[in-house]
Amino acid sequence: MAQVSGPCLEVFPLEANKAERRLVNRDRPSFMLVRLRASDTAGMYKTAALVVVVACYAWVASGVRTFTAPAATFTGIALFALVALLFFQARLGDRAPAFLRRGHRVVSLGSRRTGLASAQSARRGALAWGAAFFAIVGFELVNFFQLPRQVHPTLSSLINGFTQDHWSKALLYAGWLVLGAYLSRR
Amino acid sequence: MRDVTIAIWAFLLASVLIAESFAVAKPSSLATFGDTCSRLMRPVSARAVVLLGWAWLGWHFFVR
Repeated sequence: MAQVSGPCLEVFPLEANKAERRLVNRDRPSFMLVRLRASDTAGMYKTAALVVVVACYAWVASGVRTFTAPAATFTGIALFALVALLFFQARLGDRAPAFLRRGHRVVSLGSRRTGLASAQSARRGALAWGAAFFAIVGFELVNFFQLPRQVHPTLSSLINGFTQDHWSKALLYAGWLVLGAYLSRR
Repeated sequence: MRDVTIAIWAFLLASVLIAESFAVAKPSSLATFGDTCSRLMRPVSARAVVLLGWAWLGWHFFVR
């Protein structure tokens, strides 16, 4: 059954008709449907501020060399922040601010059908994602135990190529931070 | 041989992206990666393992 997550963003009255026209069937998922509600603009500004903070942190943290104390410090701070987030989640439970709570989305893009999938789709999902995980890990191990590395590149060695340039490393770092925030709220 | 390996990596990545796109379009047929993670991370131990995996990922690529 379709569920609507709150607070998803809804359209300004001015654009109501345009958005409504897009919704041919309210139960049908739609891609990249962003609708704005006036009361959620504060949430949008907070999200935008968070994005800026994460981007700046990723830029600075990715500028230091690996195998150095600053690199360990910056990554350590991110890990500590995650631990703190988990602590407050557990401590405050439902009293936690919206952005801290598990299963809560400040911005909802795409499908209006949120919440956990049905049992059947969940089972298929577990099989599919489990297979993908084991395929990736298995192929990584196959390449890891073969040499030379140039001929048998592992995922790690391929990704290392992206960490040579500051911009791409910063992007990877920001992606890692966002992944951590995403996983902590699932 | 290197080209074959990279092609296989590209295939695996593309498969993941296609599966996620399908799951987002038809959540009744296939649960998304996020929903699967939610179910997987319900037990505290599983949640700890996943988050430790995330921590290791960051340490591996950005520190060591």
